[in-house]
Amino acid sequence: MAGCVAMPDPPPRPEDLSALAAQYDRPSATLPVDLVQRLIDEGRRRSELGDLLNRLRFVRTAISDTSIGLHQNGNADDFLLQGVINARVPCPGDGPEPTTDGEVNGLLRLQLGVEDSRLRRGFSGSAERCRLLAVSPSAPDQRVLVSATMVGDLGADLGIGNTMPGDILLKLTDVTGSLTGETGTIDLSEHAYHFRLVRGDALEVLFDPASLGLPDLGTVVFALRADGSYVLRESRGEWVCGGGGEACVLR
Amino acid sequence: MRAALIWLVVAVVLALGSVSSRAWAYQEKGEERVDYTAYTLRPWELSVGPFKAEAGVPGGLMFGTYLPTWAIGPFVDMTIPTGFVKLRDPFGGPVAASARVTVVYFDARSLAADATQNSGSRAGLLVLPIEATISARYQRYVSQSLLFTYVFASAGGKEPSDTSIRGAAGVSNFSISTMLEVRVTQVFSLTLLARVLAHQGNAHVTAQFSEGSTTVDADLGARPRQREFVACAIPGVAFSWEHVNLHLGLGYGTWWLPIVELPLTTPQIIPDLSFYVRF
Repeated sequence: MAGCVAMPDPPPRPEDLSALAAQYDRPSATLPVDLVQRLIDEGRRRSELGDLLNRLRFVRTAISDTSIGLHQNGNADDFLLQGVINARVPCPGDGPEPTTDGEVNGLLRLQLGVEDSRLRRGFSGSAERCRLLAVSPSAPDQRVLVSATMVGDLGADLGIGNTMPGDILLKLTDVTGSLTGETGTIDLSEHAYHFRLVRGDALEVLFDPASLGLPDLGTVVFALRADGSYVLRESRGEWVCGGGGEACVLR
Repeated sequence: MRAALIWLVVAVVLALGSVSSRAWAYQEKGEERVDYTAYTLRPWELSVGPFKAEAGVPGGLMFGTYLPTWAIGPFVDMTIPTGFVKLRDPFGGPVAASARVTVVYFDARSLAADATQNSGSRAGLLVLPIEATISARYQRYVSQSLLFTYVFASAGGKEPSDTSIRGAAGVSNFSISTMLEVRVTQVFSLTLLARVLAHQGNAHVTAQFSEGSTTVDADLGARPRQREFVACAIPGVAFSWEHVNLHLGLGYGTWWLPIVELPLTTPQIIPDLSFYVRF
């Protein structure tokens, strides 16, 4: 009789991205130097969409806010919490300054499971007619309108009250949208796209050179840092290419 | 000096009790204690004190309410209706059984409005203690009662214009209590009340809050990380004159909040006082 109040179940687990996250951690390729520049160019191309989406930094903000809000409004120290969290955050908008008008800017929705007072590492969500201003020094004022479903991985369960998930891996599917700038409108549609936002706001994309018709070398990770510099990571370390036609070196 | 006065008062009270000509003590049929026992007031008998008022009606029924909840309402601009009904078995033997249901409702609309600076805010708390009791008189001088108390509490709130406060919560628990009463004189009795929390149920909370620009809808259950032993023991004394009744106790353990019957979490010294007039 005393157990009349049931604990709500966490939501079904979304697609497990932990194996993909492990590939980001440990790319398998061993590259000959003559392929590096080509793969860096490919990495830059593949990172464009994530970069145009402002690396979806506001996903991290939404998760941090959720964790802080749960800590402030609940008592995870004395109680074990379990259940479902649905968070929504307005997209920043494509005006000169970010705004919080969800009806105009569109919404990002996230669903997270809570178990043992921790946010599960895997989560799902969607971007609904999300408007934002692409930050690109070379082409300012590019307005992005995008919708997509997503699953994500925080790398590890996040303790309630912790503010900064270290790395966030995002996999977008059924991406529809457009990029509008001075040169016209570009279609951003993609069937599936994944990238990882790591500490320091670097954006990483994982790909297999074999998809370009190259020999099967394993996977590589292209990392675009917040300051615009980049490296190509493979099994032995990182390739860095200097400007002015200098040779790429493995560090 | 103060201690001497206290002892003098106690001695006078005991003396008065010992020379009383009539057995007014609780174990007499129809004169039993009704708190923490299965017994009820006699038909049309009233019991009034600063804490509660109750009345017996035919059929082993008893109704009552807690007076402080009504009294403080105007001061906190909050209505707190309370009431209980108790039904005793019809047999009237030395072993009695009863069931009792209490309803407490806090309409905390004004508090919520103050807290949120929004006159449209609403908040409420419903507490429903349900009690089953068995009492037995071993002999004329001793009676013991066993109480099983289930409490369900449900809280809800709504803040219509911004989303900082909105939600609902439910929690339940189950306690077992026993009251032992040993009559020493016709008026004077020794009492011992012991309580233990047998089960703390889960809490279920649905809430909406905002943090930064993020709005969060939470549907969460909560269960204590540690199942602590929650109990108390309160020895006391009771005086029962023809109409006036006084019960004093001092114990240690977890204090069960009066009326709502929900235990606090920190053990402490527990004073217990009740005073009422039966007529």
